[in-house]
Parts: sequence; structure tokens; C-alpha cells
Amino acid sequence: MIQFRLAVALPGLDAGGLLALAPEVEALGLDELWYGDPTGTTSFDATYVITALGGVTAVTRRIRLGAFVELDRSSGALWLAEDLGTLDQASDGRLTLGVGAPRDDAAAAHDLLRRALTAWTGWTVGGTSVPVTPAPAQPFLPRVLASDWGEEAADELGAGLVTGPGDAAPGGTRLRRVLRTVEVDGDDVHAHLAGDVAGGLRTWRETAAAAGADSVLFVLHSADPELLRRSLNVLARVVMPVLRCADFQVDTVSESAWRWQEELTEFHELPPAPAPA
Amino acid sequence: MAVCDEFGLASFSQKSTYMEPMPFHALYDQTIEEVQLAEELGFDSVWMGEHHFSYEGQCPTVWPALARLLAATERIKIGASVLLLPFHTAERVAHACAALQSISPGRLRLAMGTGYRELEFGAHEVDRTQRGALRRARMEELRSAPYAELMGPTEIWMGGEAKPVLRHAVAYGAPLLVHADLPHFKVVKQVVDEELAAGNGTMPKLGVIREVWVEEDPVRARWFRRRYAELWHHYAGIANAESPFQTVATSAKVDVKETGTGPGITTQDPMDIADMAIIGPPDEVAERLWEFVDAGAEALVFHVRVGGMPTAALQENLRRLATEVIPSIRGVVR
Repeated sequence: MIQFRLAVALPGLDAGGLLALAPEVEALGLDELWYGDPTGTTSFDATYVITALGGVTAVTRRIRLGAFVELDRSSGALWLAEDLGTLDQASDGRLTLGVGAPRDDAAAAHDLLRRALTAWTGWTVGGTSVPVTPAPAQPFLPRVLASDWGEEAADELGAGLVTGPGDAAPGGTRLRRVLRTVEVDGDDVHAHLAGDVAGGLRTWRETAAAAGADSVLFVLHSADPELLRRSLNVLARVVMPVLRCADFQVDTVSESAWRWQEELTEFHELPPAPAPA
Repeated sequence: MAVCDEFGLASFSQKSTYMEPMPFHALYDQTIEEVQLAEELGFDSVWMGEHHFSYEGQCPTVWPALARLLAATERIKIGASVLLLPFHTAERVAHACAALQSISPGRLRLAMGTGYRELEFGAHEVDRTQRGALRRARMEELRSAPYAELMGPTEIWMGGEAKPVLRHAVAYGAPLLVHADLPHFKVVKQVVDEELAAGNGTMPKLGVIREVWVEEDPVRARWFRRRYAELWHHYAGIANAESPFQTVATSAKVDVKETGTGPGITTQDPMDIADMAIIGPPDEVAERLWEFVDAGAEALVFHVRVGGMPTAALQENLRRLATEVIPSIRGVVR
């Protein structure tokens, strides 16, 4: 039995939109907030992602942050190491790095990533090794790679994998973690579940378990804050409890959580105190 | 006759030295608290520097750090002084600015600088002899498509005291921020005036960074001076230790040179450097700042966290600057 963590990625928002929603995501109790696009649908500049998350560190205190970056020929290992170290320090050790599929040259991307992730112990300048600063606050910076990298590369880099619907389940025993992405049609989690709540949630649990995942990463592409708020609420109030419960509890938890979500009762809100006599 | 209408703070760059060790993440929180106080007190701007390979936590990548400050404040201008432009591509700068403008439109400034430490050039695999050309090329790229749109309303300043930087500021018409004592600020102004007389551009807004501490008590004033000297001595030692990387000698004081080696720190007596700081009671501090205004400064940027400053003392200094010094200068014509 796995208790899944619930992560959400919001690649449809710009940096300002992300900042506006981030405190709400944290307040809802979700485990991780990701920026960048783990599905590769939207192309992001890595510096844009890091900068946006820098802002998020100022408006959140607890939620883990995921930076999903794409490496290409213009990427720099020194930049990446400094960006990651700074972001992890600024967030007090809340960062996870995600890396998209190599676009140009897989071997070059692998080399760049390896150099970045070892830069804090030494960067060679003129034959001398100089540590890049600041090192991350976490002794080991968690990292996950797009599934195209493969398990061997993930193992060598001490990484986990991000798997999607088309990916075979990884062998997994050496992997640090596996994130199973879920995309919802129209980004409307509420509408998606409305027909068969327990069935929909059970499917997500089973596909995540089959992938050997420790987390389910919901990728919501919408740029509409209100639609996102609605979906985030359903994720927090319905999906998250079901991802954390035991198999035999799924039906009960689904039914209770959905009913509470849907049926506003007289005991949802505390009545106002009676006026003093 | 110059009128000074802007007051800022410089070098909020997160340093945990042996004088005041603290966790790096706490430095970032401390910076936010100080910038929020600066905003509350009516300061106009805060500037963060960029340097690399700093054991004490100085932020090497200004982008996420600037984003934090923009996210935590509402009005105050947030800037990088200087951004070491040869170490960034125009693409990286433009995308970072797009994110920062998205977080808080219209409050971002970048003072474009060139860098001088051979170690940093070596690490970035940038030919130091090409740094001026790189700075100019990057700035041209940034005001052209496709990057100009991403830059949005980012205010471009120039940062540095070398002649090529001054000429570039005049040619570009960009405000200029220099870290100089009064004699060297006057030299900067002279160079700018010569460029203008030669018809090489327009008069830039001139800003100056100075170490400033409001204090009547001679014992506490000496404390600040010694702290500043200690810090300078420390960084001089670090610069000397970098000498294997340094193929161009650094000069002692802020110098206005044709080649522009940057503000070197390796040969000057630290106490002489500390004497360049402006320390004293409010009226004396104001009068010494007026000398910069009379010499053409329109923006005064105070360097107050000079290493190991206890937070309470720093906050008191900011309050006194805001209430006892700045009002006698801001917008005043004399």
C-alpha cells in the first residue's frame, strides 16, 4: 500500500499568476507546487522558471517547490548550479529539480546536468577546483528526470523519473522517486470526476501504483485562475484524501469527500455567535 | 545645479561572514525584512550585487533573489547593481526580466556592469579582454527584437567607474551608478562632462554609492569604522588569494582608468578606506552628502550593511537616515 503525495504543476500561468495562486495552493495542503511543464507541452525558458519560483519562495513557507527545466545548447551548467543552490537556500530546502527530455544532444545534456549537480563540490577554473556557492540547503538536492532519460541515466545522476500515460513502468528499485503525471481534460478536475468519483480516483491510484510512483503530479495547463482554483479545491478536498487512504477506504472516503464538496449543508459553516442579550 | 530626488540602499547581497555567521536561508529572510523596512521608511530603491564563488553566501544569481524582493514589497524599486553582463546571454537576461516584470511591473532596474575578477571570467569561460565589447553587444541585443519586448519597462542603468563604462552611459543615455568617494566622483563627473562637450551623447542621471552611518557617539562611530575596515581587510585578503587568477593588477581606490580594472582592494590600508565612509551626526552626514549633490549626484545610494552588522543597529541607522538626513536633501535646491 502506497500513500501518494499530491503535486500540482501550473504551466499555463505566467510568473505573476503563479505568485498569486501559490499561497492558496500551500494553504490547501497540497504537497508540491511545480513550475515549468513536466509534459513538455509548453516550452519554458529555464531562467524564467527559476526566477518565478524565486518569487514563490517569498510567499510560501512549507510547500515543496519543483522547478522543471529544459536543457538545450544555450543552457549553462554553472548558471544551473548557482540558480538551484540559491533557490534551495531561499526556500529553506524545499526545492526539487525536474529536467525535461534532452532536446538536442542527449550525451551533451547528460554531461551538462552531471557538471551542474557536482559543481557545489568543485568547479574547475584554470586547473583549480573552486566550489560553486551557495550549495543547496538540502544535503542532497532531489531531482527527477523526464522518462526519456531512462533509468540508467536516472540511476547515475541519483534521480527519479517522471512518467506519463505512455511510459512503461520503470524497474524502480534504485530510483529515488517516481512522479506519475496526470492530465485532466479541460483542466477541470471537478467535471472529470463528476460521473464516477470513486472509479476515477481508483484509476488514478492504480495507474500511479502500477508506475511505482510515490507521487501523483497533476498538470493543469489552464491560464484561467478561477478554473484552476476550482480544480485545486477538488484536488485538496477530494483527491488528496483518497490518495492518502488505504485501498479498502477508497469508496467511503470518496463518497464523504465528494458529498461534502457538492452539498452545501447547514453545518458547513459555523453559525455566527448569538447577539448578547 | 543638481537636485537629489532619490535615495536607495546598496549591496543587499546576503553575506554571512565570520563576524556574524548565520544560516544562508536566514540571510534571505533577513534581507526581505530589511527591504520591507526600507520601503516603509520611504527609501526609493534597493540594489543587490552579483559575485560568484563567495563562501559567505553572497547571491551569485540575482534573478530569484530579485523576484523574492519584488514579491515581498509593493512600491520600492528593486535592482541589480551591478549585473555582470558578460556572464549572461541576452536571452537569459530577457527571460528573467519577463518573469520579474510579470511579478511586479515597472519596479525593476538593472545597472549593467562589466566585472573584473579573473576567477569569474575564467569560470564563465569568457575572455576578459572582450568584456567591454560583450557589455555593449548584450545591451544592443536587449533593446532589439525579440528581447526588447521581454524586457518590458525594465530600467537600464550603467554601473561602474571605468572610462568605457562612463562613455557608454553617456552614449546610451542611461543613468549611471558609481561607487566612489568625493574626489573620484568629481573625476567621474568631469569625464561625463567631457563626453557631453564632445557631443557624444546625453547627460545621464548620476547616482553614487557611499558607506553611510548616522552616529554621534564616538565609540560607536569608531565601531562602525573598524567593522568596515575589517571587512575591507578581509576581502582584500580574498582578492590577494585569487592572485593566481588575476592577470591584471587591481588598483587601490575606485579609479577612472582607460582600461577600467574596477575597484581593486588589494593595496590600500583598510583604515584609509574606512575613512572614506561617511560617519557622524545627522547634520554632518547630510552636509557630506550635500557635497556629492553639489558635485552633480541626483541619486544617493547608501551602503549600510558592511559586514556583520547587527540587525537592530542597521535598522536604527536606516530610520535615522530616513528621518534625520534625507528630508534635508530630498528635492531641496540650495
